[in-house]
Amino acid sequence: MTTTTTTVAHATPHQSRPDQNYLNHSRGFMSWFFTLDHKRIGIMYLVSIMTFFAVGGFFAVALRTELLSSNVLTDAAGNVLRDEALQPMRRDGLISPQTYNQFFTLHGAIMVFLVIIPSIPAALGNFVLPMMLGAKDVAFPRLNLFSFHLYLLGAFMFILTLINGGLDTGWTFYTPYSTTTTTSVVSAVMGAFILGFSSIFTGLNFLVTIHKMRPPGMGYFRMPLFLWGMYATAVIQVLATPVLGITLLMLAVERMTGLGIFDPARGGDPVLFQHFFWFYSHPAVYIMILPGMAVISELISAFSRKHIFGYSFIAISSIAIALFGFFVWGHHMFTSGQSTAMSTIFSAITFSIAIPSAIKMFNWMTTMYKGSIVLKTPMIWALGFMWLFGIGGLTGLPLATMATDVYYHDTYFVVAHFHFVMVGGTLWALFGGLYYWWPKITGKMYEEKLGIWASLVSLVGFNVLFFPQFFLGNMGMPRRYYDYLPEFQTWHRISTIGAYILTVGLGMVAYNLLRSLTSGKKAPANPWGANTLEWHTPSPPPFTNFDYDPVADDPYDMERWKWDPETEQYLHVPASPEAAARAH
Amino acid sequence: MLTHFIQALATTAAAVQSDQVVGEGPDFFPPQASTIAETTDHIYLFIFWVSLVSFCILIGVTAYFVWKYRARDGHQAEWTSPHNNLLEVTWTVIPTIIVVFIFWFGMKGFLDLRQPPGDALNVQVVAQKWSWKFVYPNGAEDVGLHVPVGRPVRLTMTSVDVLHSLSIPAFRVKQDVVPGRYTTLWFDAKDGLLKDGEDVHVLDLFCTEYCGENHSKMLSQVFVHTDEDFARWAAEAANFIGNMSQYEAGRKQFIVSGCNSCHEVTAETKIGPGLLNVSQAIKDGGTIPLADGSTVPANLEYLRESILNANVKIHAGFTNQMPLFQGQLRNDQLGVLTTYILGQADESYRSLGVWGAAEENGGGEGQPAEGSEGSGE
Repeated sequence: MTTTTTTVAHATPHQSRPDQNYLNHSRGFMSWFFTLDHKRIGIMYLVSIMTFFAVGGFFAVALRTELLSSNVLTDAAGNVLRDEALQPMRRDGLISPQTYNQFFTLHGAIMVFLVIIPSIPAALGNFVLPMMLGAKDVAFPRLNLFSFHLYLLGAFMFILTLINGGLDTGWTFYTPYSTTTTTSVVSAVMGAFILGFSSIFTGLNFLVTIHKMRPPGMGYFRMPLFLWGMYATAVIQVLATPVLGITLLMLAVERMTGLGIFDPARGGDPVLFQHFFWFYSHPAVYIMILPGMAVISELISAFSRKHIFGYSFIAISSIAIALFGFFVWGHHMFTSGQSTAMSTIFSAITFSIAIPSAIKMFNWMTTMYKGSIVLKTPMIWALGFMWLFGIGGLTGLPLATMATDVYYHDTYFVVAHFHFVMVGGTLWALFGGLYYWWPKITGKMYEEKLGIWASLVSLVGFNVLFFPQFFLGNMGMPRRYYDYLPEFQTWHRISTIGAYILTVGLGMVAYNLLRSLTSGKKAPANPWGANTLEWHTPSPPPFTNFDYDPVADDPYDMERWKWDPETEQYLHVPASPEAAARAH
Repeated sequence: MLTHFIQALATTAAAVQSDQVVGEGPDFFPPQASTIAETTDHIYLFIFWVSLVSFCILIGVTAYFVWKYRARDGHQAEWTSPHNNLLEVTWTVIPTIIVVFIFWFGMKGFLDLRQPPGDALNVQVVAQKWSWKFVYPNGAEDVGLHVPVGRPVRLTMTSVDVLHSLSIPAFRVKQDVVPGRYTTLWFDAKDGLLKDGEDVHVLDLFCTEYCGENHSKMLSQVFVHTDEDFARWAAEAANFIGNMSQYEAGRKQFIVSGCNSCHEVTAETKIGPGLLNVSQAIKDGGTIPLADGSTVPANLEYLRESILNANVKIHAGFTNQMPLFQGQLRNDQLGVLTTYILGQADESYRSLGVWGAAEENGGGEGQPAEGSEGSGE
């Protein structure tokens, strides 16, 4: 195997000018805002996404604070006082119902369109993907920059919506409510439309980059699993997002001209909108989770010091999820009046998608077998992911089951389920990945102990926040309710306390990472001993990523890196004779 | 927390097996008040136990590996084969078999939910922002859902504005209510729900599809009656306009038609204008300011048009959120509503007699000049 000698030659990454890297090779606002460097674009995405994460998080905390207490009045015996119209008598809440509705809409819309969908692909993916390929950049650097500028334009439209009367439709924009409400639906819809194109271009760029720019030695089944995940995600971005664009355009046209596509008074069909919307938005769920799974595959292997188990099954299961994901949208509509036959078919296909997710979980578990498991911060997040995504995935079963979904649809059970998947899955993977690549991105080490504590506090906070919402769902508590009957109060109150704990945990994460920029130790080239190509170059990388043309090796051959206590980093070593024999 | 949950579920399961009605029961489920509730809960419990076992295997083994193979001095990762097709096939096939069973149970349960027995009592449901109206075979209308115990009931539902969804947790049923089409839902309130000597049992009913500002206030209640009590209630509810003074009947109609969810009869503004002002303006022969900046004379014609089709003349300071009532209100209902609104400022309307009697006398000053085309459509 010729690659052995080639990589040994670069056992210690070297540079022609060791003090020069992508961060300091040029300066000034313009050198960032109009850069074509995928690393800088990735960082700009990261900063924007985290800013909007804080805004969306603010809305979430405000919602939970309103829900701390029921506003319904009761008599001394605890019976609800009702008026002649059977309505409970209420006192005023902290915020008005209209404000609450706007807050949950903006929380959802910002978190979905501005945070979770772009999070891992656009921020971490942009930084890591070309380096994993040993490439200098993505295939179309200008298109990449254009994607980012579109993202900013889309974000600007959302801010415009906020200023100009807000939005109260829910992030789903269901008709006919969205065509009749007086809030600024059109600007929000245009924002989501533009963000859709940003997402399409990023996906297209990644597809071409992975196809055309793999280095020598990297066949499709030698790619790091992160790339398989990014590839599957990109397929969905390119194929499904245009449908969202068309749907949102139709909605805007309907609102502005009263064309009557969705309005029953003009012969339209409001349920048609749901089909269009979920045709994108269900695959979009996999745009959100596949990159998370992609990150976890890297983390589990690196921190178990083991070759990933069942490589090809994990890789193919990503593609299977991406493909099946297109044929399950109707499971959002079991109670919509959709025909029984269609519901049955959608339910069956939905179950089939549970299998590839289960395969991944079992393979990650088995990867740890006979490893040497290093419990550093990224691994803590990855293990948190297994716990949270395990619960999130399994609670999907009663929602795919038709008879029980009728009961749980639009209750807090659904809210809890998708937060376990979207936050417990995607966000946990994002933070795990962020800690993992932080030394590479910034050249600084974060504080390990604080990192672990922040992850654990967040994990506790998250479970206290969302687990009680399963109980609320079991009790029949509907979602998107500004106020609730007194019987639901206990669990709502616990849930709100969890929200505060989670806020503290995430605050610790932010503090730790930001502080490392000024007072963190200098990061070595390979602090974790992972064998994917981005660890074969200094931290932070030079402007051109590599000073040589890298040749790919087995990305999960952890035995090629040995810990050196003196320099406190992993150093590249020649393959042992047994390992070399195995490779043949 | 989890053990508490399991105990509660076990209690439910035990109650299901002994075929009793679960009373207030465990905290985690509403009582099983319909014939299908038990099946739904069984399916849920099956999924729950399967999930719990899978989750324990996954997390248990992971935790064991993390502890057993933790990095420490003298411990090194050991090379093992990164492939094992037998393992892969095992954890592909077993979950597949399990989900096939879950799918099958879910489908059977769903088919039962979709097919009402032929002899069901039919109740029409009209949903609007933010109230429910239930119309019974004898013409009675009410904001509450009244049903006889032990008899299948089919709801035929539509909405006059946006999407709504009718959910009765204790019955384990839910169905979206869509403008421009009819959707149906059926249930059978379980015999034995009424305890000895009880005439009526009350359950909660929610709107579960987001429908705007007061979505969380679109609640109602289900009243499960004995057969005799249901018959008594239905007869009384059907004839209230014929049994009360116009003003009193109007007061009731104001609630049945859901006017109260957006309008106060005082000067206070809610979602829509306070009706005392309108009433006063009509009494004084004044004008009403419109949203487009013009004014219209305050008179009966304006009031009638604004009830039936509020979209035509929108009061200054408001946006139109009101559903179309044209075709929704019978002549007598519109009549008593008008009397009730006019009576807020002009007390002479409060002494008018029963609606039918007034009409025979040629109609009071407060009656619409011509019949409403409503009921004929």
